[in-house]
Amino acid sequence: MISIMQEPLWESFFKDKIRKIFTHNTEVIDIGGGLRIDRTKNNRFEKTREWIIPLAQKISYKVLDPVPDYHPDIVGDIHHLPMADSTVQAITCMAVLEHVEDPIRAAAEMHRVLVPNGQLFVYVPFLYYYHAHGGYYKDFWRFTEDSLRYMFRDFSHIEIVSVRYAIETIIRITPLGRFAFMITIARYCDQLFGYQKSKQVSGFNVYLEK
Amino acid sequence: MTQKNNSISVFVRSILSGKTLGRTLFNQEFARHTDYIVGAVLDLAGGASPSYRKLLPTSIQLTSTDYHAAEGVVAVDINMTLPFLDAQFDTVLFCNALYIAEDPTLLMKEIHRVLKIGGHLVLSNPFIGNEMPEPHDYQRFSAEGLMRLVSGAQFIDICITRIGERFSAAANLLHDAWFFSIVRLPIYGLACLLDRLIPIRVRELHPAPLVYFLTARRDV
Repeated sequence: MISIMQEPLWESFFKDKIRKIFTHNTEVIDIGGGLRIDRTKNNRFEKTREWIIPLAQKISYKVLDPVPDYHPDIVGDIHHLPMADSTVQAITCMAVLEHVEDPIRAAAEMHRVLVPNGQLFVYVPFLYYYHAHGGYYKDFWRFTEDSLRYMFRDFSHIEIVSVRYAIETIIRITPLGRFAFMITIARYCDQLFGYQKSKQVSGFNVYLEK
Repeated sequence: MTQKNNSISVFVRSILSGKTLGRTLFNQEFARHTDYIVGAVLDLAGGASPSYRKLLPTSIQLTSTDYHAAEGVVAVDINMTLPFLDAQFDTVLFCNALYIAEDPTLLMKEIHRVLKIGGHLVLSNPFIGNEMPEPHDYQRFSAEGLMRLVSGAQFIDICITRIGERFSAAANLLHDAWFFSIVRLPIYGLACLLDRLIPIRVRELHPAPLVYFLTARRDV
């Protein structure tokens, strides 16, 4: 049965894991502010993620960023996180690793500072256009599932879910992706032609435990 | 005009022969850089018969390599130390295989080592391209990523060219879906035309090429 009303798997995966992270821990570090839930601490706000805000208000939610202009709670570099070993309960790191010079070092740093069984949620792009921000950050990398398993090989648990499937990914690369009805059609075609197993995806949502 | 007609003719024949749009555009770009390909040439991970073989100058001494040995092909694992002497080659070709490398930084240092001083590296890597596990596919590099990688290995005169844009990239990703070469031809032609309509500002701020093509020189 083909349904375009159903929430995509990557969205439900994101919601499940983020809800788990924010309800099982008393502190979460959001590296790069990629959750986009606090206008005052980063440069963007994602309205569809407002549901996270009440959860974040109940715990210690801190944004870490190397750019002081964004007014993060912690000014720090992901290559050298300013925390002691095994001291952080949970981290989110969304759309950050493609912008850092050494993502393998960054992955190792996140592993270092997490407590045993600590949780990490990552999003990285794969088939997506170059998107540096002049004067603030560059754009170096795109990641495959192989690279994710290699980078995060020290974690004891890893779940990877593709974000978008082949045709929707292609539509989003082109200007046609600006039209909501094209996204709907693309999503329908992905289901119709069985592209859910394609590795031709926009990116990956990754959930990890140390 | 003759050159343009010739270019269109090559494009048409390449697509009708079943080549992907990415391969077709790559070969056209490769043909523009054959001046760098002289003397002793190492074709790293190119295999026995890469599509650009017929574009190579006839005067070179070619060493072809691949993961598995074959007739005329030396077995080379790009994740190990390259089995060649220091400064053995005038040119190293490394086309569409960088994504297989487990440690691209180390590999670049190895390529630098086997090149003679003044020798050239000719490299390409997909950007908006399907995952290709051969046996692995680890990453894509943006132009910035490639620049950092290659300059970090002490190469100079680095020149990076974008091949294709988002429409040709999108059309290429669906290569198998078009089934027949005769169907692909108008679709690929239209995609290339639409690429040219993308505003320059968008192409510069948010490029989405199929492939990055890079040339660089060993200085020291």
